[in-house]
Amino acid sequence: MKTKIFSKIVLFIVAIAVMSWFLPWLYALAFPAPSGEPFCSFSPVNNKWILSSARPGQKPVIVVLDSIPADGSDPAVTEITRDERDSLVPQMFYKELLAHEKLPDTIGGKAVSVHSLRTHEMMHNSSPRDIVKRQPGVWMMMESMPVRVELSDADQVFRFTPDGRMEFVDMATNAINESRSRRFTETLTKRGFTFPATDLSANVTSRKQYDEGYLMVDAAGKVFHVKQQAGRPYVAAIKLPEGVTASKVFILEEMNRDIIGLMVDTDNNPWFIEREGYTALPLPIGKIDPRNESVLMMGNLFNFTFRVTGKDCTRWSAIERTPEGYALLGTYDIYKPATTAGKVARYIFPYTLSFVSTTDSLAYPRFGHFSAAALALNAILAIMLWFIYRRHRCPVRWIAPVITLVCGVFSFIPFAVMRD
Amino acid sequence: MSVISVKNLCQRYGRGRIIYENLSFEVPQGRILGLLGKNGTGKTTTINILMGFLKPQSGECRIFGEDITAMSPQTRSRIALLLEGHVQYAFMTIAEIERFYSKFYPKWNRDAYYGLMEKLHVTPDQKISSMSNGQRSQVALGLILAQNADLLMLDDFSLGLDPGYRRLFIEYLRDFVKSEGKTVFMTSHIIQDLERLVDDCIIMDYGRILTQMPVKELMSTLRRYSYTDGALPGATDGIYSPWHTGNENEFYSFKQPNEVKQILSAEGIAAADLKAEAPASLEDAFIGLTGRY
Amino acid sequence: MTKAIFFKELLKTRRVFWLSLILALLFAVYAIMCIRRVSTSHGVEHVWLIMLMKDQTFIDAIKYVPLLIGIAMGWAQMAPEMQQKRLKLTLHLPYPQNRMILTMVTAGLLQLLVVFLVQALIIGIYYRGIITSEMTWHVMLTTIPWYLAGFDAYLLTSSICLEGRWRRRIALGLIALGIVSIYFMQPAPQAYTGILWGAAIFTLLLVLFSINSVNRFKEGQID
Repeated sequence: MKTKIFSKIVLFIVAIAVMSWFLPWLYALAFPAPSGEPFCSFSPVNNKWILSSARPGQKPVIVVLDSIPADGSDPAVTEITRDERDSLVPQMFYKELLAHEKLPDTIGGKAVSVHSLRTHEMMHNSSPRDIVKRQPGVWMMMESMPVRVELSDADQVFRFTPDGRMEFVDMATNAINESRSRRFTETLTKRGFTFPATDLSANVTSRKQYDEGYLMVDAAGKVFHVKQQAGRPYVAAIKLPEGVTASKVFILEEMNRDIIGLMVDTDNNPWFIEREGYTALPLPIGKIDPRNESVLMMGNLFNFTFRVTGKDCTRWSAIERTPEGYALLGTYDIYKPATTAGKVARYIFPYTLSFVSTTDSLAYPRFGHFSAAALALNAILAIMLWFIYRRHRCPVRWIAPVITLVCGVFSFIPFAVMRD
Repeated sequence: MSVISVKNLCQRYGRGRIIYENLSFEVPQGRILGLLGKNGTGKTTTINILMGFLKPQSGECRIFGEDITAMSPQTRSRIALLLEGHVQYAFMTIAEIERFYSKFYPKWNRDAYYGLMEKLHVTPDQKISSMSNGQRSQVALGLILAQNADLLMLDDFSLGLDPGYRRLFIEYLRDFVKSEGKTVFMTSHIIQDLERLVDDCIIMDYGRILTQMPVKELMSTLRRYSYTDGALPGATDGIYSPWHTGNENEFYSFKQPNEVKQILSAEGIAAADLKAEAPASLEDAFIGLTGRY
Repeated sequence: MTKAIFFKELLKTRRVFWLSLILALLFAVYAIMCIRRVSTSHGVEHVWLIMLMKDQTFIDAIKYVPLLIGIAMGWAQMAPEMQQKRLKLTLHLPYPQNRMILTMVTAGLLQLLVVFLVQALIIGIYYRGIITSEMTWHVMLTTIPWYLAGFDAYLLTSSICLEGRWRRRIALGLIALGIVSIYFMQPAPQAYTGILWGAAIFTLLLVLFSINSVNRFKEGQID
């Protein structure tokens, strides 16, 4: 008897859970949120944000943000043409300007040339999907100083062993390279590295100009630059200000070699790691949580633009390098507009269940979008269920409506369909 | 002691038509009881309830004193089932199915099974699915005999069998049951078969039991009355199935001829040539009680 | 008696068991051949490279094989029980009825386990020869949700077969679709590692679906 009741309870819990993810998933599929957030650039010419919006099927709109009210109301804008935009954002459109012989010699007091523009171009992209994921626990190591000019693919991987070693495995033979393991372990230890590394960043590809190996965060939150040069270890500790511990690092291997990495500390403050003196400089762009927010960084001769995309808001910040460090040029926040489908969903679904997310590469059950607005529909469905059960002379009539008061449409369907 | 005891059983089709209300009967030990009824009177429903494959809407069924809705495996081992159509595990061979069932029944009689199988001209490794209906029924019967159960429940055992196999089945079953003092509860749509086998019968009509008595008593007390003059009586007061054929009126009744005469004359029917005779067969008795349609 | 039940279940499923084993082996060999093709033409380092940089495991070909095998096993085992309502014979046997269903389902699960283990071991042993243990585990942990989907599909197919009413069968079918598709929503390797234990316990709970269907059968809930 107990098994019978228990099996029924499990069946309904599972049915409600399946509905809780399936219906919102189906709803989202039927009413996709429109994409097309504006793209922002910070003009070194007028020191203003330039927004380019292109919604699918609509004419692109380009505007200059003349002023951004502090209260979050709509900014004052001036619409401009594409050609005007090219002149205002030369760091991006210098090829166009050059082709039309419109590229000025100086901008904002800085001498401008195609070469200087190109060599200062930087681009870094990180997504929580690439960070919040399971990794096998081995990393590839390239040769940073190859005999020939061109880089070649990595031929070994390393791991951190529980007994505090950096252990190399030869990819071709799947055998441990003892001598290299010993050399790296010794050098790391000598430089004050606390095993194991808690975060590592490298671009393991031979299709790049040069290789800087890894930026690693050790178990103590210190940052190290680790690479292999002519088969030998190169290890350098990054000087972090007192009290700062790193949480996440990103290596940057750009033509502009001044900056070798982007770091986020345990308080989510972003830093640039500069080659000069291996120092870290704070970035005045607010906090960044790379495990939950996508980060796009574009650097150029004049400034660095950061786009930090969170759940509800995209924050654009522009900074520039000054002799003292980095100074904020401007910020602009774009909030995701609430769609009609999204608003309606709040009245239909009391909550949602999903197993995947756009912000990680993991699958696990996650409840969200709790909405008290759906209680009205829940109540109607509960009453309907009570009448259905009464009409069909179901023996127990109150449990299903009570559950439906909470779970709404998710429990209404299974209870109505499986009423026998 | 009753082997099967049914009290106040009520059952309906879903929320609709009543199959029966307050059905009660008992099957005493050592008797062979046949459940007879026209199609749709609830024979299969009753046997399904007794086999534990249908939850009665109300009422109580006990077999060997145990409530059938929570029957213990020990009690189930005392009951042999023959499903409609002699259904068995068709994916097994003659030998495999014997090996399988023998593990469940402590009183398993291997010889009884193989004794019957020898008559079939089949090899032990022949699959049941490759056999004829008759052969399959023999396998099912063999398994029931080997099981040596105290109660046999047979659901429409004659379905799909040709006369020869039916006869063989009945003879085997009768010998087995009589020699061992078994109790049998069975249904069949071929009433001639039951006549040779059953001690008692329950005749069901829509929603009720018409009669439950030993077949011999039924055959000796039920009479077919016929006459040529006068109208047909109404089907009330112990008069069953009034029917006009050719120039003759007939009906059946358990009443004595003088009582019948009184009833007829009360209705103003002369029936001067009233004849009373015993029904020719159980089938006649059945039709006499339940009517032709 | 338990042995006899296993004997009966194996009679029903032996053909599907061997076919499943062959299918699983063929796909394991196919996956290995795909890896060998990459390592022969580009060097074994390329396998490492793609695995570590592109989040590939090279064994996507076997992804839906356990699912297919699970459905086939459930069907082969439970459909004969429902043909001509043969389940009545099974339930009438002097053996506790819930334990009977559990034993039957255990027989199916054990056969699946053998098939899945053989396939996983072949892939795992081959991989361990060419890549590190961490990477082999990475691949193996990626396959576990696929095998769990196979077990789930088996249990859900069983409960659908044992269900006597079409309306409920369709409802169970939709629930099954919902459950099974969860295992294939996130293609990233090891995406499910954090919930494997939960998913395994959930899989065991799905046995109750079959028990539920059989209880309904006993109540006469049959079309």
